[in-house]
Amino acid sequence: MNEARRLLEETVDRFFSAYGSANPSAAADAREMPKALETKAGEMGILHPHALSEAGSGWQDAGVILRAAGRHAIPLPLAESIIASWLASRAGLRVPEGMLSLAPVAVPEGALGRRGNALEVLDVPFGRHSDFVLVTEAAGETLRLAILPTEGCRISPAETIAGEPRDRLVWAASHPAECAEVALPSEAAATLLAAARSAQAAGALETVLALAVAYAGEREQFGRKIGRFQAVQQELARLAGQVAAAGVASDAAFRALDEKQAHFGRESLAPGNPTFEIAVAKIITGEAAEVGPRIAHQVLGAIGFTDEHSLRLFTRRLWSWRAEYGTATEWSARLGRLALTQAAPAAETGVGLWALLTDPH
Amino acid sequence: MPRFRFDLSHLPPEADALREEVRSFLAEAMSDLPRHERARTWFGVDTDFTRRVGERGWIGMTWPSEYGGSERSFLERFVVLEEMLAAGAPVAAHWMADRQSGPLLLRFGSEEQKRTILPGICRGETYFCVGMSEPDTGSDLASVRARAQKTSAGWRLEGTKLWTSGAAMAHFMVGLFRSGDEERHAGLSQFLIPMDTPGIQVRPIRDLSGSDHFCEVVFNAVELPADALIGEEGGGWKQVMAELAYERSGPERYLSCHPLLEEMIRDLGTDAGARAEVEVGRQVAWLATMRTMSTSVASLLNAGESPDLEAAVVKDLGAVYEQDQPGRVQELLGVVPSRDENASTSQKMLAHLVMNAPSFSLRGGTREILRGIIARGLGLR
Repeated sequence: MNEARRLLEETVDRFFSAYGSANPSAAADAREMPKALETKAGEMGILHPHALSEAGSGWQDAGVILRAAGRHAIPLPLAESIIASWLASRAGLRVPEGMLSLAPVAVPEGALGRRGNALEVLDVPFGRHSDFVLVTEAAGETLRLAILPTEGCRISPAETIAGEPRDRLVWAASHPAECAEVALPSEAAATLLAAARSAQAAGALETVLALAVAYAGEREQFGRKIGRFQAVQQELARLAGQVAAAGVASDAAFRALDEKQAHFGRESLAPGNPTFEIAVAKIITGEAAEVGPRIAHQVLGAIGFTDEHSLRLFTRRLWSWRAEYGTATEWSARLGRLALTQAAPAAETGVGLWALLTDPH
Repeated sequence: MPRFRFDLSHLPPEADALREEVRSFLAEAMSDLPRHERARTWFGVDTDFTRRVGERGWIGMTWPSEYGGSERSFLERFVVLEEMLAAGAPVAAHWMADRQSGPLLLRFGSEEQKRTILPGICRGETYFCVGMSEPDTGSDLASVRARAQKTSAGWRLEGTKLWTSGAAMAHFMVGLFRSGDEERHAGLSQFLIPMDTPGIQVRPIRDLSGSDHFCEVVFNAVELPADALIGEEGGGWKQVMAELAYERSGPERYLSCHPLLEEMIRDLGTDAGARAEVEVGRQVAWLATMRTMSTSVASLLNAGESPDLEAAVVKDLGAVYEQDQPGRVQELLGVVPSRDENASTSQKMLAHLVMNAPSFSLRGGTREILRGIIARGLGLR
């Protein structure tokens, strides 16, 4: 990690950490999005990282911000705001002042611009707290985008098991003032959100490990700290391995988004396209989201299972994030199909898969 | 709690050309090797192959040229290793010397030892084995009992080393012996031992798969000159720990079954169905991630750091990944492992790997030892 990014991580981490200690219940009840948090995040420029709208390494900065947000269970639609503003800037749409969220699934062709028709979008993260929502529409080979104000739309609230809002928004009549098109596939928003959830999960897993290690170093049974028992040590080491793998896989996805950005969306999944690394990240963090919470809850025993202990802030988020925007199984199927289509015909060399992974793209 | 240092890194630009060079060399050098033999990966022996790898400058390739090395970077070496392993090249003859005995001598050996030994390793003519374990010493390495007694002319060795891979063909052993009266970690020293020294008896031990690469080595009044000592008298423990870092960080820790994975993809073909796609995709995801992690550790080594904790994490995850593979492949292909002459390539590969998989989490530090190292890194012990 370069020095500037390390500094960004420190700054964001400090801000989130201070916020979390001062407002212990906010993350637990993400139904409320604290205005102060939103304002400060806006001032820090992390809702729309500047570098992302230009060439450079903006996605890796975004990855650092999202991982830190995961580490502290921050109740803000950070991922959605960052991705929506990137999509908007790619399409040449102006990003308005105010909290911007993102509709994960593209609406059917024609739904966006049709005057007089109602427009419905589902599962909008923090929809009720957002001033605007970026909506995408599949339009043949391209993606049509519009930014709709939430004022006046009907909101049916829904939540994940972690209490994070995933709201249904209905506009009685959709007539966006401005639409723009960009050459991206219809699942672009969901794919980028999958990358974001992998970074958030990698961050949450770091805290899950830290909480479990800290508890094992305090809690005494049979006359000694439970962390002194080899059975507990071995399980925590296993958890640490999952945390390390999740972090590496998610970092690799955001690096690929920076370095291979020109190829994003060219095909839905291919080597040389960052969606390859995003698939890997969602698979690895999805598996870690199964193993990690299981080990941590075992170590923390009954107290970790209560509604008082902070462990739940992270494990409940992991359980919901692993399923959002593609489970490990769904992404595995896509990755496996690619590997078999491309590597099996080249198998005569004995290294078809290896070449797929290592050849310069 | 310390955070792991798994910063992402890229292989250097010159790696692509080198990769192509290694690939075309392997395509030619391995053209006569039956495909199922590739499942032996880094336990396959072919002394002629080893000599040819030496001619290309790919053994001891990071070492100074005055000792026969090619002065390439650790990351270039990483590329050569991963290409050889992915292809299942028969690298066993030079593997130990290239991976750990040579680097150990380079770091702790005398000028004389370096000048006489290292060039032969680089040419692919001198093979090494590593004498650490004993009948009563496995994971608890500090309980070593084999003795080195000081004599007027040098040292006299007595005792037994066990599970020593490749001892029957090695020219030298780097052996860990108790040279003083101190307990445990103190009083251990390492020696450079020519395997043809009188008093050394090597007995190969057949493993459950029928291979006999590992051996029992008995030392019966073996006389060595004073300059057979490597490094510092009594400094053996520190030196061995440095040596194990080389042993734990390489790509061999997740590529042991890779030729089987390639064979499975070949067998499945392009229209394999949903279940196969999910399984293959998962394997690809872990392979890609293990490789990213291993590259990151190689970069730390390249920068002169000692990423012991990160190496333990990679080896532990890698062992789980590669140990799982034979069973998963077997379930997916639905074939019976077999060594019959008429068996398919995947059946023969499976036969070898199903039986060898238990060793993946034993060799080079057991799973329990590695997780103990990680737990210490977490501050639990």
